Order: sequence, then C-alpha cells, then structure tokens
Amino acid sequence: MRFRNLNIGLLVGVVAVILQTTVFDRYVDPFGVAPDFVLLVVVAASYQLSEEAAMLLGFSTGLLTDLLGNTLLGVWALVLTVAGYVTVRIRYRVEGNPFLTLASIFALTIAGELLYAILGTLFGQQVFSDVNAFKKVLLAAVYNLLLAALILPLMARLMQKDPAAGVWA
Amino acid sequence: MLGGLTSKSTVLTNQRFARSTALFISLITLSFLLMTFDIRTEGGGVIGTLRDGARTLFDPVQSAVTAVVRPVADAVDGLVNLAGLRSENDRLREQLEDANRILVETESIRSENEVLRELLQLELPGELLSRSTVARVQAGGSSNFDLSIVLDKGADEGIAIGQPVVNLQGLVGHIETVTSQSSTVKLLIDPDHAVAVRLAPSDYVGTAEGRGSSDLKFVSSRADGPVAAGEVVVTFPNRYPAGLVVGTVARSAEPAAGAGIQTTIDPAVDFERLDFVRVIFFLPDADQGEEEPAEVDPADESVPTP
Repeated sequence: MRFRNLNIGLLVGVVAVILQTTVFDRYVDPFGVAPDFVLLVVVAASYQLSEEAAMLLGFSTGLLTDLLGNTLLGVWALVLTVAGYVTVRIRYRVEGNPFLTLASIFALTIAGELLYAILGTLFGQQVFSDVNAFKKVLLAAVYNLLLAALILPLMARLMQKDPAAGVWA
Repeated sequence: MLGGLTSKSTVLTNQRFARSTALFISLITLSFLLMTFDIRTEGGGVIGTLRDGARTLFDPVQSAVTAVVRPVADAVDGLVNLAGLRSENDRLREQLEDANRILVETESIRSENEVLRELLQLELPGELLSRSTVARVQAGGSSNFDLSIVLDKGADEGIAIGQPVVNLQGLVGHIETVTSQSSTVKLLIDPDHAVAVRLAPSDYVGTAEGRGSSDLKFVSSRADGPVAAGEVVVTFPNRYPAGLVVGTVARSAEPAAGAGIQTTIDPAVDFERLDFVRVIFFLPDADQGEEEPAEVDPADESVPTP
C-alpha cells in the first residue's frame, strides 16, 4: 500500500513539474508570480505518505525540477526533501484542523522558497538580487494556500486514505 | 507482558526514526554533492548528459501540453479583454489622430536615427536575419526565481551556447544550455545576467543588469554628464552584436561625484508573454574576429568581458 502511494506520488510529482514549467510559469502567474505548484504537491502527498516515502518523493521531484529548469542541480532536490520530511514531522499536530493544515501549507511554502533563495545565494546564484524576491515568496505562498483547498483532498482521494482520518476530518 | 510489548514498540519506533534520519541525512548530503559537482563541471560532464537526457525525454510532453494550453490561455485572455475593447477602440481613434501629427515629425527623427546608427556601428538587420532561426517557446522556468524559457529548437538547428535571442521588440536574452532538440534561454531580467550597452544619443557605455523584475539597472562608471529619460539603450559589441535594442532609460539621472551614473531601463521586450523568438547565430569569439568591435575603455569595470 505504501509503495502504491509512493508510485502515485511520483507520478503526480512528474505531472506537477510539467504543469509548473508549461502552465503555471507561463500562463497562470497573476502579478507576475506563479504558485509553487511542485512544492504544494509534494507537501500534499507527504500528508499521506510515510517519512521515507515523503523524502524520496521530495528528492526525486526536486531533482526533476532541477533537471528541467535552469537551476543548480540539487537545490530543489534538497528543498523538497526537507519539505517532505518536515511535513511528516508536523502532520500529527495539524491533522483534523483545517485552519492549521492551511497555515502549515502557507508556512512551508514560505520556508521552502526562502531555503531555495538562501541555497541559491550560497552557491553563487544571485537570488536575493531579485528586487521582487520577497513579493515572489509571499504571493507564491498565498496562491499555494488557495490551491491547497483543491489539491489536499485530491491527493487524499488519489492515495485512498480514509477521508475521516484525513486532513479535512 | 504489557511492559514487554511497550518496550518492543519503543525499539521499533526508535529503529524507524534512526532509519528515516539516516535517509534524510543521505539525501541532503547527496543534494549538496550534486550542487558542488554541478558548479565544478559548469553544467557539463555527467550533469550535462543527465540534463540532456531529461530534456530529450520531456521535450515532447512539454510541447504537447503547451500546444493544448496555449489556445485555451489565448481564449481566456480574449474573454478577459472583451470588456475593455470598446474603450480601447475610442482610445485608439484618439491615438490615430495623434499619430498622423507625429508622422510629420518622424521624417526629421529618421535622418537623426541614421546618423546615430552610423555612430553606434550597428550591424545591418539583414545580416542578422540571414544568420538566425525562429523558435517557439515551449516552456518557462521551473520556479519564480528561474527566469528562463525553453525553446523548441536546439543544436540540430545550429543553436549554440551564448547566442543572442531577440524578438520583434528587442533583446530577450542568450542561450544558456542546449540539447539536440531544445535550448534554454537566460532572460535579460535574470539577476545573474549583465550585458554591455550603449545609450543613444548620449553615447555612454555601461552595463544593463537584470534585477528579477520588469526593469533593468543601468550602471556606468564612465558617464560624466546627465542621462535623459527616454534615451534608447542598445547592445555594445561584446557578448552580443552591436545595436540590438535593449530598452529605454526609465528615469533621468545625474552622475554622482566619482561614482559614475546609475539609473533604470524599461526593457523593450514584454517577458510575460513570449511565444516566438529569433536566435541569432552570433558567437562573440567567432564573430568578433571578423568585425572590429568599438573601443572599450579597459579601466571601465562596468563593461563585462565575454
């Protein structure tokens, strides 16, 4: 069952990366900022996965993001691994409380984007030279918050977790 | 009995925690190793092969998704804009009257422009056009901080790293990575991007640096006079051929004592909606041997070398 869910997670992760690069970054970017859809999908899937599976999903999805994007290989892999790990660590505290779940999505998006910016800067990419860096981080978190209302139940349904025990219980 | 079960459960939990912690540390270490390796190989070697493989695998999928989404996005754009069409029509009528008046003034500007082009040693557009190819944008960056686009043409069409990319409005960026069937363009607005530029008519040389937003920063240590808003910014022969339009000076600026001048540039290109671009087969090393680039002051550190 766990491997089945990991496989679903990986498939959805690949779809998320393709949608991020073709749809969100080009057409769905109000105020010039797109949602961080890949991060949202990894976090949403991690609510349904074991700790190891969540980290593997984060790492492989991040690696694909790095390979298809124009970023240093390994940056998104690290960020999404951490996102998967932290999500599993905190999910027992937020499950059953929609407000806390959404707040965690918002906070994880901000933390993930900031971690990316810090790592990028440490490894020579001038991410913080972007005058809109904080606007991008905040808006992406808001968009993820809105999309979470759709993606969280969808992931719970795809991974066939009992909705009564799920994040909207 | 119950105590035994509890201690067994605790041991299992601890083992599981140790296993997941070990996996976490391994994945983080692997990520750092990949980053370091990518920097050391400068995107080539095994990492380059991996990227090529991934791009080759996903190019058709990205193209297919873009082909499906583009008409839908255009239709939605059309619907959103429908309400504004009537008022835009009225506005355009007024603009047409203004344009007729301006047309008379244009003749004098045209002759001035010819003089400026000579001054800037511009390449003829025809020469550039004959050494270029048109490509379609099939994907964007992988995140909000990744200011790049993916084109549907690559090395098979003659595209190589470093070549400039333009559209009808002006300079878009340069080719950053290439596979046989696709290529990635680093956009002009990327904070890692800087291009040597010249202003017209003031003739100051400096750099236009990306800021991640819709404008660029102009820096020149050589400018000793004011720069006026509206001055045209074109490329200076260095990484790019001379005379590609970069944008216009957004606000006037005066030189600070001993510090040159700094201002902002409105790029000519709308980076939000890029569908077709033209890649110019110009490589700084190969092409500058044939033509004589304009003189660069070696003391000017604001002009990047390729």
